[in-house]
Amino acid sequence: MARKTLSVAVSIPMACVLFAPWVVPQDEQLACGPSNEKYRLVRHKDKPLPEASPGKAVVYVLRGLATGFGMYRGGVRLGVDGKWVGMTERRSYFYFAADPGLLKLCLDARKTEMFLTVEAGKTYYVMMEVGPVSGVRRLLAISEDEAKKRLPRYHYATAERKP
Amino acid sequence: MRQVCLFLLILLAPQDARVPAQQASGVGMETRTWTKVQYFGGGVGITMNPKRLATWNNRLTISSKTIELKLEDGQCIEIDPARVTAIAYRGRKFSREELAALAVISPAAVLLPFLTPKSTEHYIGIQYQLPSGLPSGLLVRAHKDNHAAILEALRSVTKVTEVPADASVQGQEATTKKPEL
Repeated sequence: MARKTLSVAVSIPMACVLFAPWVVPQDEQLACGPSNEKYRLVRHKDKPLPEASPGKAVVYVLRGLATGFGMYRGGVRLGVDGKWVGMTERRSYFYFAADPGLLKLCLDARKTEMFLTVEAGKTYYVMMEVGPVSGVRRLLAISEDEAKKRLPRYHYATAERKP
Repeated sequence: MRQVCLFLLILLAPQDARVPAQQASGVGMETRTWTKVQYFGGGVGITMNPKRLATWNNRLTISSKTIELKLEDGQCIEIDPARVTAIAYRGRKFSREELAALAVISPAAVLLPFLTPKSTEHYIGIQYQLPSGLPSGLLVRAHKDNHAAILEALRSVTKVTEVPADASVQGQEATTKKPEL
């Protein structure tokens, strides 16, 4: 019994060190979006895939399954230039329109950042890389081919602001 | 005999006294290259393979003529230093505070935050204008061994000494200190 307790006491912290991308940032100065705005996720049955309207770019944000143990299922908000634009859960996507230029994308989970330069009339695909426990670890732009392989398997979800 | 002596003298001269191999010709700073750099987006038309996301095998080259980031898969981002409008640096410290919460499960976990070192991630943002006039940018994560040198080289080639408040990279600090009042 004592041996079992000891092995649990040692193995759990060891596992945490080995699988710990979930270290927390000490600085909270990075504002992805207003911290007082709360959102809830709304799942949709339809799967809209709009193209960019004239003078605008459209950005699709995809989130796949978690890597590792896939324990993290929570919603993750995405901010662009200091404003929240959407929220994801596992195997979901959303999209937003943007003016041409440089976009600074930021996730509330771990305050991960990414730059994206968008041009008018074009479509961009951004993928969230998800960690095992704390959620999204980083963002990356993926190719249209890669995105089109994944999109049919994902559901469309939007963020609704809580009163 | 004199030529032989001269040859031996050059051969035996200390490394520092020789001309650097990567010295660029012409006026300006030498060309410097770093390999431990992670790409965090911004390049026009650049897409990544999700399986090769966390690679550090990218090559950043800075000279007075160009700032070039060559990714592991061969994709390349080139920036004209004259078009750079802002540079920003942010060092993010990470601790393992959450591990302490595991003390509920295992008392031994209390020690982990003290045993595991804190880490700092060094992010460098470069904002510039494309030839079309479109604002663009490049975000990279530098290694602890090279972030200071990269910043110094960027300041040197771009002559960007102060980041305007409205042009600064969101949430990041300007590379230069404000003058003391």
